[in-house]
Amino acid sequence: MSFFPFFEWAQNTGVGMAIRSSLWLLPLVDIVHLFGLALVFGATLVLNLRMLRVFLPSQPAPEVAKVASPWFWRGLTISVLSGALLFLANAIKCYSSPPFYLKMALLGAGITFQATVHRRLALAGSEGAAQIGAGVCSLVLWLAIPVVAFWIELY
Amino acid sequence: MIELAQWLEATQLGTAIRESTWWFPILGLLHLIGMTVAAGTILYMDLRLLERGFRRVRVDELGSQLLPWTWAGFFVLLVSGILLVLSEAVMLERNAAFRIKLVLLAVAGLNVLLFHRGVYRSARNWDSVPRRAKVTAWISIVCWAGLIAAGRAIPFVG
Repeated sequence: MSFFPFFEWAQNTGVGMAIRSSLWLLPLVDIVHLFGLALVFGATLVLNLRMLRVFLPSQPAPEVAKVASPWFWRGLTISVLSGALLFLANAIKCYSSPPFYLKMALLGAGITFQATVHRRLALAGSEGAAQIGAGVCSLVLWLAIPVVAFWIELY
Repeated sequence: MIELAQWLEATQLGTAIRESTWWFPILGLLHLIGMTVAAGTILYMDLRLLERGFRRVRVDELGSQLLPWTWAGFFVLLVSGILLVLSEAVMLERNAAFRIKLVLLAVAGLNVLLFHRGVYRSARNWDSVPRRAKVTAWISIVCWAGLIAAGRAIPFVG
């Protein structure tokens, strides 16, 4: 079963074509995407460093999560929405780019992990090996995404 | 300025980076990671100064915990940025987005300097955040957003 028709459809949407043919729309969407990334990574760094006990040990992890988590999800929303626009503008290039699929897989894994295991452990209030493990996994996952995204550009 | 730019580009280091397949993208990636660390963390200091986060933590305690990470991110930004400039100095010298970045860097640097030498020194004793510190926070947010936007605009401005 070929998914190519979907990518072809995406590339030819009005939105996709508008972004691709505009001088300033693409950089603007890209900039918004970067803002989202800064929010996501900053939030995940702050929360995970707390779970690794190297940041603000005086505050319980749930307190740090209360500040950082909303910014994480706001940033992620911004990144996903702007990312969808970038996809529409470049769908066919994404179709034939192996790192693109890797990035999507990492994104799916990251969101799922963050919303389930990580969230539960962050809010648990305990300071165990599980928290440290979750913190490391989360950092690695979210760091891998921009690295792979760069690889897409280079491919 | 153009002669300085030409000289910088012609250095061994600048030439090596520009002619390499990998160095330029790797520096770009490091620059991006440095940005997410520096900008991502400074947000929480600015939020605290605007009393919108970590209100139960004293400002100077948050600062002592958070700012080392911000500085580490900034260090990566600075080193990778200098190397990127070395490799593309001529193009950057006439690039309006890059010039805006330099201006914003100067403003941000001045903002930090005045903050740390001024109102932040009494942070231990604050009952609430002084207005001057809130102004610092807003300038910081605007500068970082501007730096990210201007940086991303560089290849498009030519």
